[in-house]
Amino acid sequence: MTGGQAQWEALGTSVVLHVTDPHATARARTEVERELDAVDRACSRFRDDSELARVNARSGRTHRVSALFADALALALRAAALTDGDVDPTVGRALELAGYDRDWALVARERAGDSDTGPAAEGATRLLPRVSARVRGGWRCVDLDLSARTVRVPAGVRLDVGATAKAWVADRAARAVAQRCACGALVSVGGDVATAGGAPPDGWRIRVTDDHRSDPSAPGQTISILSGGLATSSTTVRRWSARGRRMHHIIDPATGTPASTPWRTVSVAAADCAEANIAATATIVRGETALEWLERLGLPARLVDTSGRVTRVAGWPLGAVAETQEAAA
Amino acid sequence: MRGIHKHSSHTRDAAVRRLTSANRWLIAGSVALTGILAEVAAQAFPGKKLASASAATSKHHASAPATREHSPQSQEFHPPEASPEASGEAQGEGGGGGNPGASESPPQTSESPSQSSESAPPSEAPSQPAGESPPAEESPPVVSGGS
Repeated sequence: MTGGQAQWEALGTSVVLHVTDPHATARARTEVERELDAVDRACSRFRDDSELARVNARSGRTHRVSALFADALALALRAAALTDGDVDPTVGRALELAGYDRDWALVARERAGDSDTGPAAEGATRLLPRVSARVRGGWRCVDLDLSARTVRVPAGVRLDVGATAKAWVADRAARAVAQRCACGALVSVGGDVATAGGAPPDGWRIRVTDDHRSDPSAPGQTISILSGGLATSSTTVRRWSARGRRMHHIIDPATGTPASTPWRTVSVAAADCAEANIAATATIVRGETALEWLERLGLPARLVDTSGRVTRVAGWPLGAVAETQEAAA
Repeated sequence: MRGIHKHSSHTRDAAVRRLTSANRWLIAGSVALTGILAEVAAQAFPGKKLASASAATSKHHASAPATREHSPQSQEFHPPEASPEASGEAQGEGGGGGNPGASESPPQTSESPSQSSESAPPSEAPSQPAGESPPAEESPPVVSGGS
């Protein structure tokens, strides 16, 4: 890909920007940063001053919210409807109980070592309450009125829109850049990739792999897309150990605990990044049955199971080199 | 007195008959008018089909924000306009780019039974060897992975 590019850290993850017009890079970055900042102030689970934090802190009451937050929550609820509740914004409490109760940088620092023994594990055990988490109510208990811009969640329920917000802000940012800078744009937020405007002649080249922070030479596959979005969900990142159990950040709403899944990494392409991310996360939760689901939806996907075996569905391309197996995580 | 009684009873019977007849006309007219009004209303305000059961049960009220391409009310996924295409594999497929065949890539095993074939035919081998550096003017691909 040629053109302008920029990369920086935001929302606790990495942001990558590519534009087809190199002269538009600086302005495009400003547009992306504006979108990121707005969504962070509305939707962050780790900022006391965010709208999400306010709604969670005073659950049981009706809150008037910004149009941005209402839209973010609308998408999160739509994700739940699209996946029959497999991606559910009411898992906030379950995430906290699993130990993901602050910015990932802090969680990772405190639980460094990813070991079940030693000081890190002791710390984790101390932090984790000895209770099992179950989601009560689920997404249908959330009362969102987009016309009045009011939100009410039952007392005790805590929202988390992290499963959809990153991909959504990538979509918003890519569209903003394409419209205001009049060029093609690719925005990746934590590996959730959105495009808008015209693509480069050879398309937007994307390497799908386990961890978005990996080097482009990491095991995986390089593909190109001309439009839409692509997202990857993986259980190999944001994981820790506690009480002899591997924990990760993708919660199965049916159990309130990290999803037990045959897939370690799932990449999905869709008309936009938000939908790609919803489908990828739901696939992790659904397990084997997701193959038929993705095929029926016509969403091209690449799934890597825990042993490294690769499965493709709905028109996901074969690699340029034979690929059936990736290195085990 | 008897004549007066007979006269008033005839008058009463006649009035009852008139009332009964008027009632029947009123009922028939009401039914006809209801039908006509219903037809007019149906033509003027055509109905909409419920999107799905889940949409009907959600408390999520309608109002599409202007910033989204797809309505938040849409109860279906939208596939991409075009499927992804395999790209030139400067980094190689499945293994480390500068170290093809390294221990990161275990031997191939049986393919997934239910889905598309996993092994690319030999003719799909890249024109440039895995690990070769991409052209200087071309930036590496964007990485999509878990976060």
